[in-house]
Order: sequence, then C-alpha cells, then structure tokens
Amino acid sequence: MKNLKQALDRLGTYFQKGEKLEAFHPLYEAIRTIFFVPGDATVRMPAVRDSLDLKRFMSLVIVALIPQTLFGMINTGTIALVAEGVTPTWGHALYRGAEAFLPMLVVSYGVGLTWEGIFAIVRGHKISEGFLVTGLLFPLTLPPTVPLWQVAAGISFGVVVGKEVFGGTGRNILNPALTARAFLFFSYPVAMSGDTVWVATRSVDAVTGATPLSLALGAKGEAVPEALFRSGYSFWNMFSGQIPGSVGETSALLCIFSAVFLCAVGVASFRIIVGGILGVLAMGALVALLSSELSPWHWINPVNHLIMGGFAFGITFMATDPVSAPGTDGARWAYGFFIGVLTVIVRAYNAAYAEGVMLAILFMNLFSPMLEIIEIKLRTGRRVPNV
Amino acid sequence: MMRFSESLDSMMKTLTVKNGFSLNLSGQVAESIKEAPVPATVALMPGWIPHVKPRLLVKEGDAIKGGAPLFEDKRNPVVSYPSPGAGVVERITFGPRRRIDEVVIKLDEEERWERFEPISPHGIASVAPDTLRLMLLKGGAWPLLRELPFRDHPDVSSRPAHIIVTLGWAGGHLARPSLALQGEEEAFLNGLAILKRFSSSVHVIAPSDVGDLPKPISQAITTRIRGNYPAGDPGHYLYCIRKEASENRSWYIEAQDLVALARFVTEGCFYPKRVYAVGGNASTVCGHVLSRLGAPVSTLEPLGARRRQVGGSPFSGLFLPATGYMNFFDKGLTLLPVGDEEDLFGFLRGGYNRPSQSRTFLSVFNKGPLELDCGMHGEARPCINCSRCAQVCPVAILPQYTMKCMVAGEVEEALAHGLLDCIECGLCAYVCPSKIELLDILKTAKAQYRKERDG
Repeated sequence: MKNLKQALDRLGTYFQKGEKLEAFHPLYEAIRTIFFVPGDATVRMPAVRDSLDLKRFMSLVIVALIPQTLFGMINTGTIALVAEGVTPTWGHALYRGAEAFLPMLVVSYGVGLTWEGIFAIVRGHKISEGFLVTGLLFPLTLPPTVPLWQVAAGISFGVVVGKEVFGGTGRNILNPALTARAFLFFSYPVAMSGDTVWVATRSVDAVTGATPLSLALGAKGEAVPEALFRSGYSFWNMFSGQIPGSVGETSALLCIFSAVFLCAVGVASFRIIVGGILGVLAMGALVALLSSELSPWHWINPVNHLIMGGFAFGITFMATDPVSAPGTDGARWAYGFFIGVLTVIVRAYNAAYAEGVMLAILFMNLFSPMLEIIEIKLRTGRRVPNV
Repeated sequence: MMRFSESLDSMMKTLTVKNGFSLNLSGQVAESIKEAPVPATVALMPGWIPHVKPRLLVKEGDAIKGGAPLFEDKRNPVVSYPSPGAGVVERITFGPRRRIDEVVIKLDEEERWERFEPISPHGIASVAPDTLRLMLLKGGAWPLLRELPFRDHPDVSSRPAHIIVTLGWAGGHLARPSLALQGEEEAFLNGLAILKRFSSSVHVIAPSDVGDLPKPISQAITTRIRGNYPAGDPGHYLYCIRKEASENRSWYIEAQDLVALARFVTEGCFYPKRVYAVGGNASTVCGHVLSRLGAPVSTLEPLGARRRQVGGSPFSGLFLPATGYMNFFDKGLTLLPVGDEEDLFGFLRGGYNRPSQSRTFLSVFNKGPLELDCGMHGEARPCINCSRCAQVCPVAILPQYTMKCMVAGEVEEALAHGLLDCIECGLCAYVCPSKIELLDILKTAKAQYRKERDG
C-alpha cells in the first residue's frame, strides 16, 4: 500500500502545476482516486460528512449489474452454441458469450472514457464516475451481433450529445446510455432490430432467433400465447431470461434481485420501479380489454409485458438513474407509472417498434422536470409562507 | 411527519418527530460534572457571532469591568455585547478581511463588575416591557435572546409571536439541563416571568430525557420532544407549531442563557457562569465542565493530539481555533479527529465501522457506537438529484432545488421553497454524496437576503 502511494506520488509530480502534463491532471486524479479516497478535511460547516460518496453510490450500481453481465454472456453463448448444433456447457457458453460481449464492453469503456477525458481536460473538471455505469449499461442493451464501430459511434453520441453538451454529469436531461442506444436504433435499424441480430454464431449466415416481442407482434389474437409457447418461450424461459435478446436485458428474475438490492441500499428509488410495474399492468390490462377482432394482436397477458423485452432491465437500471429522473417522491411515482404506460402503448400500437421501454424512458426523461415543478409548486403552496 | 399528543398531565404535550437523523457515536457526554481550573484569560469572539457588524469599544491595554460593553453592533449601536470578565484587554486579533477574531481579556485577581439597578423578582410582573428592554440593552444581556428565522439578536422594537425556551435537543450537544440548571430554579422561573413581559406565548421545550430536573423547572415544561436530531431545535419547534406567517418572527433562548438573563435583571450584574458539555471521540473528558462564558478551550479539555474543536453539535457547530475560546452561545464542545488520511479503496470497503445515514455500508448492521471524523470522505461532484438531502430535511425544504435556485439567482423562488425556514441543522450537507456545501449555500443565502432586505 505504501509502495502504491509512493508510485502514485511520483507519477503525480509530472501532473503538478507548471509541469509538462499539467493539462492532464484530471486523468491523473481519476486514476489516483480509484485507489485512494482523498484525505481532505472539511473546511466549512458541518464539520462532519457522511461516508457515502458518489464513487460508492455508482459502484453499487455496477455491483448490481455483475449478475446481469455474467448471465447475459452465458445466455448469449448458449443460444449461439445451440444454433450451431453444439450441446452447451456452462464454461463453453460463458466463453462464447464473453467472446461476443467483452469486445463491445472494451470499446464502450475505451471510447466513452476518451470522450470523458477530453471534456474533463478542456473544462478542467474532474472525471465523474457516472460514466462507469453508462459504459457498462450501454453494451448490455445491445444485440450481441452489433458491429464494434457502431458501439463506438453509439457511445460517442451518448456521452457527447446525451451528456457533455449539457455540461456533464448532473446536468444531462436524458439518460446517456439510452441516448446512445436510441442513436443506434434509429441510425442502424438493421443491426439493432429484426429477427437476425440476436444470435451471435460464428457462421457467416445470420441465424434467425425471434425475440418474444417480435413474435407477439407477428402473431394474431388468441394465437399470441400459443405462438410464444410453440417457439419455446414458456413463462419460465422468459422470466429467467433464457431467450434471445439484448445481452443484459433478458432476465427479469435477475432484475428483481438487482432492484431489491438497489432499493435496499437506497441507490434506486422503489417508487419509480413499483410505479413502472403498476403502469405496465394497468395499461397492459386496458390494452388486452380493448383488443378486438380488428386488433387481435393486442391480447397479451399484462404480466407478460413485464418479463418480455427490456422492461425489467430498463425500469431497474435506466429509469432509476437519479440525474434524469425526478427527485421528489410524488413525481417519482408518476414518472415510473407513465414509463410503464408508455412502454405498453408503444409495444401495442406502434407496429414499427417491437420494444417500447427505451422510448418510454427517454420520453419521460423529458417530462421529469415538469413533474418535479408540479410537485414543488404543490408543496410550496402548502407551506406557511416565510419571507 | 410530526404528531402532538397530550399526556395525562394536561399542561404538558409531547411532540414526536419522525424524520431527522441521529448516529450512535462514541465519545458521548457522560452525566458527570467537574469544575474547570480558573482561567487566566477569557475572550469574546465577534467574528463567530452571526450577522453582527462589530465596532470595538475598547483597545489593547484598556482596563474593563465585567459586563461592560466590549463592542457594539454597527447596524444598531444600541445593541452591545458584554465583556465576559473584568481585567485588561490583553490582545485583539484580526482574521481575514479585518474580521475581529478574538478580544482577549486578562482577568484581574479580584474581578469588578458593572452594576445596574436590579429589579426585584416580585417587581418583574409589574415592570414595563420597555424598562426591561432598556435594562437588557444597557447591560449587554439583550443578545442572549435570539430571533428566528435569522438567529440574530432580536430587533430592538420587535414583538415576538412566541418565545421558545429550550432545555436542549437530541444531538444538539448542549449541557444536560439536570446538571446545568442545578440550583437555578428560582432564576429560571424569574426568567420565564421576564419573558412573559415580552410575549404572552412562552413555550418551554425539552427533549424526552432531561434527567432529574428540579421540580419547579420540570413543571414549567410545556412540550417534551421525542425524535432524532434536530428535533427540539427551537427553529424546528416553531416550524411544527406555527399556523400563520405572522408567527415566523419569534424569539428563543437557551435555558442557561435564560438563567443568566434573569440573574442580570434581579441582581443587576452580568452572570458569567456556564456549564459546558464536552464530548466527541477525540475527547478525553467526555463529561460536563463547570466554567464561565468565553472560557479558553484548553481549560475545558487539555490540549492533546491533532484534533478539531467544534462549538456545539458536529452537524451545525462552528470550528473553534485550537487555542481559541468558547463562543458567546456555545454550551457544548465537540472534539473530533482531523480525518485527513487517504483511504485505500475507501469506496469499495464493506464499511462495518463507517458512520453513514445511507444504507450503503455494512454499518447498517452495526448497532455499536461509531467514530466520526472531520474528513470529507469523497470528492466534490455536481448534484445528481439523489434527494438524500430532501429525505433528511426536518423542515421539508428541498435543499437540492433551493440550492439551484440560489445558484441561478432566483431568490424569490428559494424563499417560496422555504429558505427562511431552514434551521441550519446541517443534515443536508452531511448526507450529500456529491459533497456539496449545502448548509453553507443556504446559510449564506439567508444572510444575504437579510442584508439586502434590511439595507
């Protein structure tokens, strides 16, 4: 530990004021603070400060994402191996999944951190740890076959346009990871949706593996549950996540664990998550009731909406991003609820998009300041004035 | 978030407060009392008294009587602060921007005190409020009263809606009333009679565990307050009881100051005795110390290893210099480790021993006392709108938005949010994971608003 400190101190001399690398001080500081929480004492009141800092806050989200990442790789590998006609073992599947996913992760972190670094150096800011979450979330929302240059383009858009142009962490309106994904989704729809992007085989020909959502969209009426079942998508398969899809999003079961963990440590707001679930169930039930012979594809058990596609992942990790979500309790309920409602509306009524959660969250990101203002106005109206 | 309940004793109410926050900390102040050695010097620290613009009335080398005015407030020169002892002005030290840090008085062997015409305890009920007002102003006892919401001394012509006498509050690091008010029953009751001359609504509030109080005092308590820090802070209590805007301008006074005020009125001579609660995990005393107003910190707690001194609660107290003196209003002294060591992988540890309001450390399972220090425990970051500050705010301000209003210069909006209700408890800044100086921003905003309003 002492050696490490000395080595860092020695390295630090090059980044001091007046030295050659002075401009790159944010980079040095980012590295140093990974190892050491700085020993600054308080200057102003209050004399004492909580042990919680933003680094720990964000690291807990990463901890919650570890199971998703591992399972996502195993699932991706398993589906690829099955498509190739090989009986998958755990190790083999993990290896194949890692082969597909790790390059995406490395590109996402590498390119994103480069942008973060550039902005930090130019602005003289510190590098914020929020990116560590964005850089992991983003590849988890991508299909395993996406080309790496698209990962780079997406994360660049997400970091620069989604966050830095607004002034960096804390000032962004939209969730950067979802902004990045939306950019790819609308720019390169062929690589992001359809039936051929979900299976990462080594063969040259694309292998078809429809997601439950695209099946549901294609099937008609009472045939939806049957179509799902015929394709091997039983409730358990979808719930546990053993289905094709974006790398990290498939398992609702793991999302429940993560959501409970994040709410228990107080990093995510349970109001957003519960609100979102209620929204999906309410709108899902309404849509199912309104299904008619003219629109038979609307008939889906509302609970299925919770476990198909990326809803569970989105509501657990994306919607609860504190920066782009509202900060007041009532607004959080409304925000979550409308994410759920909009997710189902997009899924049911927009034939072009099988998945709605990304759009729903981005849309509600835009409305979150308004929800906040409404609640603040209500609360200040109830106060005894004091001027 | 609060509930009133009437107890069997129909005169007394109990107020239960749900939010707020307390830590189980080591270095709690024990229920013991000892006498401090007689100090050679005492001091007044004008720079530590909020809002005042001091104009010194003495210079170095002057002989001064105890209780004689030491400096007056430029904003209204009628208000002066008294000398805490009799002797010679030994030195006057200045801080940055000519702030007057300390006026140190070397005490005479035999102290001589400024004398005023006393009012007999029986005469209080019939004396005119203006006579009392004048006497308190002349004798320097007026600033013992404090006015909400700014916590300044009251405006000379102010008519308070309520006067709140506080016997201390949870985590407030005031001396236990059972020790501090020993033998002061009569003065306390006289004090209440004096306050009644200024307002018909006098509240005496106390935390739910005050220890064994003398009966006359415990009978005078109107409300007992149950809850975590800062439940029972006078500003917080006012926030709980007020019904309309006119009540915002109220006074408060701490029990020991009330005793001093009453003794000044009935004896005609400034009363310097104070009992201090000395604690904190860098303290070796951890008990009560009987001393006097403006006593040197070193007589309360022997100088020791590197540590920091906070006057009062660690959440809201001001740092005192190591060689410093107790501030005019302080009834407590908290000594804490400096906490400026780098922390290897600090953010990845389990943290079974790390005090935190959040549930992000294993310390949620640790019921034992934890160690505080004065470290920042992280770097400053932009606000991420996590709302931890709003969760702990005892007066339901939304500190993160109020802070943004102030940064954007939207004073009116900040006021609508309840800026002036802020009781400066410091919990918002304590919990902030982005280490934003919320308390400092809100306090400065309040003071700034006041300055602009009153010119």
